[in-house]
Amino acid sequence: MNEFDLLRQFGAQVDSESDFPITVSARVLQRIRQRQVSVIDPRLSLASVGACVLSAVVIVITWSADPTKDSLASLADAAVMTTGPDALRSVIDPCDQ
Amino acid sequence: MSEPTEQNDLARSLEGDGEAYARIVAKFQTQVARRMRLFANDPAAVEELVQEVFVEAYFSLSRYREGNFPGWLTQIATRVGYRYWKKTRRRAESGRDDQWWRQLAQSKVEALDSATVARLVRALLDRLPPRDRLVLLLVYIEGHSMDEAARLAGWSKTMVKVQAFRARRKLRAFFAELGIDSAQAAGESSEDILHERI
Repeated sequence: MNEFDLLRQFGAQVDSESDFPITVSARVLQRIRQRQVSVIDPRLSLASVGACVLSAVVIVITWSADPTKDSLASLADAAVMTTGPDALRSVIDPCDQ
Repeated sequence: MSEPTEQNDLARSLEGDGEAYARIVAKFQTQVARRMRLFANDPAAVEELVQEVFVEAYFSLSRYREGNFPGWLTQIATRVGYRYWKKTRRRAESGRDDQWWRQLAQSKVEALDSATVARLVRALLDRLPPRDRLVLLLVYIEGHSMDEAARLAGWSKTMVKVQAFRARRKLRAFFAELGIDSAQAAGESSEDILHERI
């Protein structure tokens, strides 16, 4: 007997072994659903990362354009005027103005 | 209403019909399990591999061209089994039973019962790299031609030939370690078989 005979004997033996009962349909469908969900998740993560990168690029471009102090101050003033307490009061009770 | 055929079920599976795919799985699970037993011994591992084959087949269904579905499934099963071998190689190496090997070396191979032969072959295959194992499995254990083995493994025919030659040499060395002079014992027959296949 040589190694090839042993390999053949092994193959024949595995082939002749009685099949053990196996039922995997339910588990297979479950795994398919899980994988389908996990395919969506990375896409969402990718979209989030993309949005962050885009925001960072916008900030860098804005800073590299060397904005003057005045324009930043005026932006801040505009923000206070539109969302600050005085602006809020004018909305709640316009007759007070 | 007509009974759903395999092709109908495949077409419906492709459209996302889970019930149709469950019927496909039920029809072929035993056949796939029989094949996966060549890659793993543990029933739990076999079941896991069978599941993996059907999950992979499902996501590859769009690439399946009508024809030989069992053959296509066998191809997927082969690749899943090969991946399993690559993944578990380290574990197999660390799990060697030296005492069993020593006992085996003292016994005659001709006198071994079929269960011990199976264990011996599995143990020898475990000592080989997954590539060598795969080629031995396809060409010698299952008796596929070089062309068929190449198709199932997804390799070129040349690679299968080269790998078969190397695997044979290693296996022969392992047998020599066990005290089996395979070259002498085999006589001309094994060489003839190999040349015929190549």
